[in-house]
Amino acid sequence: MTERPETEVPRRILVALEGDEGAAALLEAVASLAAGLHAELVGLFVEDIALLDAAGLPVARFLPSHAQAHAALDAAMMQRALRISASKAGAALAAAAESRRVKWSFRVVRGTMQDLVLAEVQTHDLLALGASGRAVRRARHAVATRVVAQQAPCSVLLLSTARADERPVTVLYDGSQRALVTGERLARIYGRPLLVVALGESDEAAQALETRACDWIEQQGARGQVRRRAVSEAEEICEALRAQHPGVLVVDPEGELVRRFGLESLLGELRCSVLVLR
Amino acid sequence: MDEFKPLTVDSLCWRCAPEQFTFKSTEDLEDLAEVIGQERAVEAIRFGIGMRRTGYNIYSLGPEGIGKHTVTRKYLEEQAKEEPLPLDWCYVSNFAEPRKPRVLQLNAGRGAVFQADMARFVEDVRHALRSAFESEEYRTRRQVLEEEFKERQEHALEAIEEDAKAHGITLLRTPVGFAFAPVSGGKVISPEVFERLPKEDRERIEADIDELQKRLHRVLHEAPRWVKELRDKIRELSEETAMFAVGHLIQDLRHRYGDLAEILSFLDDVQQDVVRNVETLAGVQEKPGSQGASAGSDDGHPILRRYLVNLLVDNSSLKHAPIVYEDDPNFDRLRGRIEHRAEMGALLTDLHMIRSGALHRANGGYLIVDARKVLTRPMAWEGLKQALLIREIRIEPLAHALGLFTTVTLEPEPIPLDVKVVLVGDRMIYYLLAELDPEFSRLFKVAADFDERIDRNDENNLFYARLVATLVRKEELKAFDSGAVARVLEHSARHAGDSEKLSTHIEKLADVLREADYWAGKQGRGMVGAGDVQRAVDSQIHRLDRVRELIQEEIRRGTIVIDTDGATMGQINGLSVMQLGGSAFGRPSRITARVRLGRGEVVDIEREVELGGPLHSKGVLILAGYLSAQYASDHPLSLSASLVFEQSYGGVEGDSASSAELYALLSAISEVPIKQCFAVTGSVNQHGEVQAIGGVNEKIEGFFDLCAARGLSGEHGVLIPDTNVKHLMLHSRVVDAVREGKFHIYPVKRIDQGIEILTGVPAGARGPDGRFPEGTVNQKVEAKLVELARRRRAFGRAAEREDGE
Repeated sequence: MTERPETEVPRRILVALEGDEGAAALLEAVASLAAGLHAELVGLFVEDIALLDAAGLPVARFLPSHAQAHAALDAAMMQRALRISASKAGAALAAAAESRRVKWSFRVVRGTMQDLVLAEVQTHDLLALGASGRAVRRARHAVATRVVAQQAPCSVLLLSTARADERPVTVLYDGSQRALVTGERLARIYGRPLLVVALGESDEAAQALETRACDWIEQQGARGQVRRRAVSEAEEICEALRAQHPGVLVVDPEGELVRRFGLESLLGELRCSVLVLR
Repeated sequence: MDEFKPLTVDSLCWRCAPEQFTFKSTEDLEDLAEVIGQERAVEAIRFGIGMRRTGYNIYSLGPEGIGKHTVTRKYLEEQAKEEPLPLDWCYVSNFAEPRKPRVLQLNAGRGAVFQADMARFVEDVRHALRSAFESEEYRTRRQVLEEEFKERQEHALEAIEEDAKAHGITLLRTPVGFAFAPVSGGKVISPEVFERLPKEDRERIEADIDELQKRLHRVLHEAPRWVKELRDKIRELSEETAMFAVGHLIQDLRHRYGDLAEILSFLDDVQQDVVRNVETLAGVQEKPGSQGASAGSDDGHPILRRYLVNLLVDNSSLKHAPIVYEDDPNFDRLRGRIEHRAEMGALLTDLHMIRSGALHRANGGYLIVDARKVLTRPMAWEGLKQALLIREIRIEPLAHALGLFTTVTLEPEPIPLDVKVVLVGDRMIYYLLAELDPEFSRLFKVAADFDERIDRNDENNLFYARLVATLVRKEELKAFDSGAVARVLEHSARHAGDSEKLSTHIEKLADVLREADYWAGKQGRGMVGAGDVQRAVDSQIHRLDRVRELIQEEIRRGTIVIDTDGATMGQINGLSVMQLGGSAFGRPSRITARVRLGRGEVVDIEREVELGGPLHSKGVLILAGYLSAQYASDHPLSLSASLVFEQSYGGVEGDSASSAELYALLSAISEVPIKQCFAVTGSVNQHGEVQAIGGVNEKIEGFFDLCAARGLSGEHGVLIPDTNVKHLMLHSRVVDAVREGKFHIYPVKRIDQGIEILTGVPAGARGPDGRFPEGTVNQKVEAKLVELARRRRAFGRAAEREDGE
C-alpha cells in the first residue's frame, strides 16, 4: 500500500463566534471535526466594538426584523445583548464539545473580528469561522472573513449555515496533493462521500488531473468519485463547483488554478462551507 | 280382605336381550348420520336456518350434555356449505375525520390482497419519494428557489446598504436587530467623534439615517411575504414532484381495484394525503434492519401507517359461510375492541389496533354462543342484542357503552350485520328470558327444544346401537359386543328413569362408553363386554357413593332410627331421594303422626319450622281434605294431628311422602299398628288415589339396601304408586332378591289398598247403610273421629256453661 502524503494534523482548533444565531449548527460541525481529529476546541466570542460604538451614538436606533417600528438603542442595552449572545454561544460550545468528549475552552473578547482573530489564531492549527448567508453580515463581514482567510497562518474552515445533509466533501483539484489528502480525511471524519472536481484550463489538462486523482484514490484504497471540467475563468470554476452541491469544499490557495483566479473570487461566490488550506 | 300381589320380576326392570340384535359388535354397525329422537328440535333448527328474516335467530334449549351443540352445528354446517363466502372487511384511514376510520368491503380473499398491496405501496412510496426528493433535479430546483429568495432579500438590503454607504453610513446587524451608524475610514464613528461634528453634519446624518430606516422598514415588511412566496413555491415544487413520484403507484392500484368505487375513493384520498404530507414523508428514514412498514407492525412512520389497511375480517381461508363458536362471549370478544399501547404514560391507539369480534367473523354466516355465558358477562347480552336489533356492529369500548368514561377514542364506521345467532342453553334460561326480556322474543323467535328421552322400541333400540357405534369410533374406543350394547341401552333406560324410554344424554352415554373401554383395557380385552359396561356404571356410582353409604351406616348403627321389623302405631317408613352432584340415592325416613282432640287441623311440623317446602305443605293439607271427605262428612273434623319427618334436618320438599303421611295418620287415629318391614312412596289426592312420584328406583334401592344389610326376612317390601311401575329399572340386586321372594314391591292405586298391606287389617268399604264394616281400619278411624267430635261438642257446652255462670 502506498504511504499517504504527510499533512499536518490540526491539534488546536479556534472557532470564532460573533453572535448566537447559527452558532449551534456551526459548533456541531466543528466539534465533529475536532472529535475526528482528536483536537482541542477553543471558542472565541468577539464583542464587536463597532456595535458598541454605534449603540452609543445619539442617532442610534434599531429595527428588529419582526417589529413594526424603530426603537431607541444605547450602549448599555447593546452590552447586555452581546453578553446574552456570548452566554448562549458558550453554552452551545460546551454542549457540542462535551457530547463528543472534546477538550474545550471559551473566552469573550472585545474589539474587531479581524484584528482579534488574526492575533489569536497564531497559536492554533485551524481556524473555524461562520460564513453567514445573510446579506448584511456577508457584506460587512465577508471582507473581514476573506481577509482573515487569506492572512491567517493556519488553515481556515468557513462554515456555512446552508443545509449540507449528506452532501459530499468536495475537493477543488487543480493539482494540489494536499487538497486531495485533506479532502479524503475530512470525508472519513464526517462519514460523507468524497467528490473530487478536477478543473483544468483545457480538456486535456482536466483529463490528466482526473486520471491522477483516480489513481491516487485507488492507491489509497479510498472511495470517491472524480469529475472533470475545463474552465477558463473564475465564474466557470464557481459554476462547476456549485453544480456538484458540495457539503464542504476543500481549497488549496497555493493550487495553480486558485492562484491564477484568486481565492477571494471563489469565497465571494460560494455559499457552501469551505476549508482553505495552509 | 283382598290379597294384593307384589310385582313380578318382569315388571321390575327392562332387560335388553342381546339376541334381538343382528350384529355381533359395533364394528358391524354403520355410523348414525341422523339425530335420533330430536325431530322437534331438528325441525326447528332447519326452520330457523332457512328463515332469512330479521329476528329468526335460534335458541337451542335442553339439559346440559344432551348434544345441543353437536346437533345444532351439524345442521348449520349442512346449510353453510350451500351458502356463499362472506365479504372481507377492512378498516382504512378517514383522512377527513381521523377518529372515524372508514370501512371497506371486498370479496373473500381480496382483503388480504388489498392489505398486501397497500403495504407494498407504503414501501414503494417511501423509496419513490426519497428518490424523487434526493434527485439532483429536485434539489437544484429547490436551491434555485432558495437562492432566488436570498438574492431578492440580499439585493434589497444591499441597495439600502449601498445608498447608506454613499451617505457615509453603514448598516449593522446587532443582536437586537438592524441599526445604522455613520462611518469614517471604514470604521463606525465613536460617540465622542460624533459629538464633535458640526451641528449641520449631525442633523444631516440623522436625517439620512431616518430616511434609510424608513426604507429598511419597508424592505423588512416585505420579507415575510417573500418567505411565504418561497414556501408556496417549494410546496408546489414538492407536490408536483410527489404527484409524479407516487402517481404511477396509485394508478397501478386504481387499475387493480377499478371495480370498487369505495377503494378508488380511498386511493384518491391517499394520493392527496401523500401530497399534503410530502415534506414529512420525504424525510422518513428507514430504521436499520427493518423490513419496512407492514400492517400491524409498529415500525412504520405515523403518516405511513395511515395508508396501511387493517384487515379486520379475512375470509380467504373459508370454503363456505362461516360458523363461529365463541367460547368466551364477553362484550369485547363479541363486538370487537380497540386496543391501546402505552407510550410515555399515555395510552395511544390507531385504526390498526381495531380488533374483530365474533360477530365480525360470523358475519354472513352463523354465530353459536352459550346463553349462560353471554348472560353472565357484563353487558355482553345487551351488546349482542343491540347489534342484532340495529343490524350493524359498532366497535366501542365497554366503558363507553356503560357511560363510565368519555375519553376520546376511535369511532370506527359500523359494519352492516347479517348473521344468524344460535343461543345454546338450558330451558330455565329460555323461559326466564322469554318472560323478563321483551327484546328476547323479538330476536330469538325459533326455539329448538331438545328432548332428553326417546321412546324405547325396536327401531330406536337399533338406532341407539348405531349411536353407540358412532361414538365408539369417534372416541377411538374398542368395539362393543352386542351384550355390551344391550347393557348400555339398559343403563340408558335407567338414566331416563323409565323402562319405556331411552336417555338422549349423549355426554353421559359417552362417559359410560369411555369408562367401559377403560375397564376392558384393564382386563386386557380387545372388545368391550357387558361386564365392562356394568363395571363402568358401578364404578361411577361407587365414586359418588360416600354420602349414601354414610347414611346407610348411621341407620344400621341406630344413629338414624329406622325400624325394619315389628309394627307401630302412627309410624311409617317414608322414602326420599337425595341429589348430590351427579349422584342420586334413596333415603328411608321415619314419619310419625300423633292425634288429639282439636279443631280439625293437621299440623305439618316441617312447615311450622320452615323446613318443609310448599309442595310438601300442599301434600299435608290434602290429607285434611281427604279425612274430612272420607270420614267426617256429617260432623266436624275434631282432631288435631301433627306429622313429622323424624331426624330430618335439611328440609323436605315434594309431595311424594304424602301417602306415607296419610298412612301414619290413619294408623294413629285408628290405633292400628303399621308393619315396619315396609316403606312407602307416592303422593295422594283428596279422593285417596295414589299418584306417581319421581326417583322411584333410587327410593326402592335405598330401602332395599338397608333391609338387605339387616337381613332380608321375606317380609320386607316397598309400596309404590301403580303408575310408577313403568318407570322401574331396578338394580339387579333388587331384582334378584324379589326373584328369590326376599323382597316385594307392591303397586298401589288407592290408600285403602296400601293401608291393608301395611296393617294386615282390611280397610273396609261403606256398606248400604253407609257404615264401614266393624273391625276395619276405616271403621276404627271413623269411630274415633265421631268420638272426638262428640267430646268436642261436650267440651264446648261445658265451656259455654262456665262462661254463662
